[in-house]
Amino acid sequence: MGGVLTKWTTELSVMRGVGPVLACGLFLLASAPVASADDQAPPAPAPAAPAPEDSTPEEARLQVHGYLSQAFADTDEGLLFGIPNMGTFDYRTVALQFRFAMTDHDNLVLQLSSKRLGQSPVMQVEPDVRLDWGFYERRFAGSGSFKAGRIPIPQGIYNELRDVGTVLPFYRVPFNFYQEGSYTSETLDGAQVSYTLFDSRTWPLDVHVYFGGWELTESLGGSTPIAVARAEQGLGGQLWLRTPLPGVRVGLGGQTYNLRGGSRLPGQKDDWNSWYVSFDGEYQRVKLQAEYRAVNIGEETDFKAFYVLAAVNVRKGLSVNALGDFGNLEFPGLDRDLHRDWAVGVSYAFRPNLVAKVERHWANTFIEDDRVGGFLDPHPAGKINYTIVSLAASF
Amino acid sequence: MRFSPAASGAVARWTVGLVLLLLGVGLTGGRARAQGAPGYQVIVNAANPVTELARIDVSRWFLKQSTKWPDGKVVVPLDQSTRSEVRAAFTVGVHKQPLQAIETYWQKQIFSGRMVPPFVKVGDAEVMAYVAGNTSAIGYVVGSATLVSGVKAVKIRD
Repeated sequence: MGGVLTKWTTELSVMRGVGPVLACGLFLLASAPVASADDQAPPAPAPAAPAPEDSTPEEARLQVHGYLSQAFADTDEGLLFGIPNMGTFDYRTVALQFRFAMTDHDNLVLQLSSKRLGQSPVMQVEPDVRLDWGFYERRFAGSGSFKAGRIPIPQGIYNELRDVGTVLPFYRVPFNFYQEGSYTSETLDGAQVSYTLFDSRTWPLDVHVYFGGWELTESLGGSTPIAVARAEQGLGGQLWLRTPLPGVRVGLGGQTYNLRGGSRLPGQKDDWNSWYVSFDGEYQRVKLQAEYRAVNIGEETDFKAFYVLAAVNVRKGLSVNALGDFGNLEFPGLDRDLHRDWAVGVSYAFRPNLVAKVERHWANTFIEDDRVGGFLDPHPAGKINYTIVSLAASF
Repeated sequence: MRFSPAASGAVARWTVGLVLLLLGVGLTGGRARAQGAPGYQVIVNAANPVTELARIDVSRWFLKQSTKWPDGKVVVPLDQSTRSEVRAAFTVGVHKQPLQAIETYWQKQIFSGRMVPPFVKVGDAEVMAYVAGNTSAIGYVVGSATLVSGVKAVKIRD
């Protein structure tokens, strides 16, 4: 499956210029005053004929969904996350998802996406359009599911949703925990099993287990060449314990894999192991989220990430959001706060599927895109303030 | 795309201004739906033995967090249009959340590749026709609706 998907991605990468067209098309679709497909049906038709006994409705076997986030981003000084101090509109994510229900239990899901990160070095290896997901799903025993193919990795609160602007408080998910562009992957090529334990009890437990591999872009920043490594023998799990309080859950997860290729010598591999905990609370007008991740790379390198995010819905659709995002890298001879980011923002949901955001960030960082020695540069951290104004839509 | 610093600043200011203008329009134009939304009644097939359901169970079925009737059959929930008043009333009454929160919940489910929302039938007549022909179905109609043969209302307890 992985070889086929790689070929797909390669083929799609030559479709130069398709990304912006896809983006414009999606924006037009999403800008239409329609909340969801169900509202498109004509009002009050004549009563339908009785449905077949005990089957789901036949309509909507094929469902098409999509999202777009378009931003203008600007730093006061320096180059961070591909954002230059001259500003850029070349900052967006767009995706189109097709879901085909073959039977009541079997689905095929395919998602194409395009991402632009301004002047980020990782754009050198980012195709215009990529096959984001492509998997088969079999649902069983009520809440169970088996997926095989290219699958979104259930990891933390946001990994599967990291580009869906209409559900994110800020344009980007917290950097240190999720990364962006390099040292991270939203998907794996492999298989996943999910099941909910204690389904009918007060404290249901969602269990996700996955196995497979994925490609991972390595970028130290600065003049260091971009390298693409391969994560192999990846094994991971995610637990979510839902509480009796609606919208409040706690999570625990872990992941282990070997990284080959990229900046390593032939035959060399690094062992990456990580675990993380999550608190995801959204109750009435208040959202409070916090996640902590510890990553062990080989025998001597440790990376720790933590963020806390708070949002208050001050009136219908209008939220004030705040974020504190911290990352620390430690290995022999080096112990540094790799990236700190404080942010405040305002988001306004005209509708749940059309959201505008304005956000201001104050970063203290070693990961500037133009830092000469990359993030291992011995010079002090750079102070970069940046602003992102964005509009997100989905359908 | 590159800009001179002056042009960049101007674009940023205009963009922020435009967004603030849009926010203002949204704030003044996006008033809540009409007051006095009708009530709702939850209906099942007449052959279904249940007469009473816990609100939390109904909520989980419609959020697809739980999928089985007490007898083990798979539940087939039917929603109504997000524009209907009965959908808003049902959402507040059963999920104890505003419709906007539930729509956001479904966006998260769709775009994480997990599942899609329940099927939608437009209007009480369509809902009742489907429920009458499917013993596993559950839906809701306006509180004052006259039920057709083949369906029955069930009591919802907190």
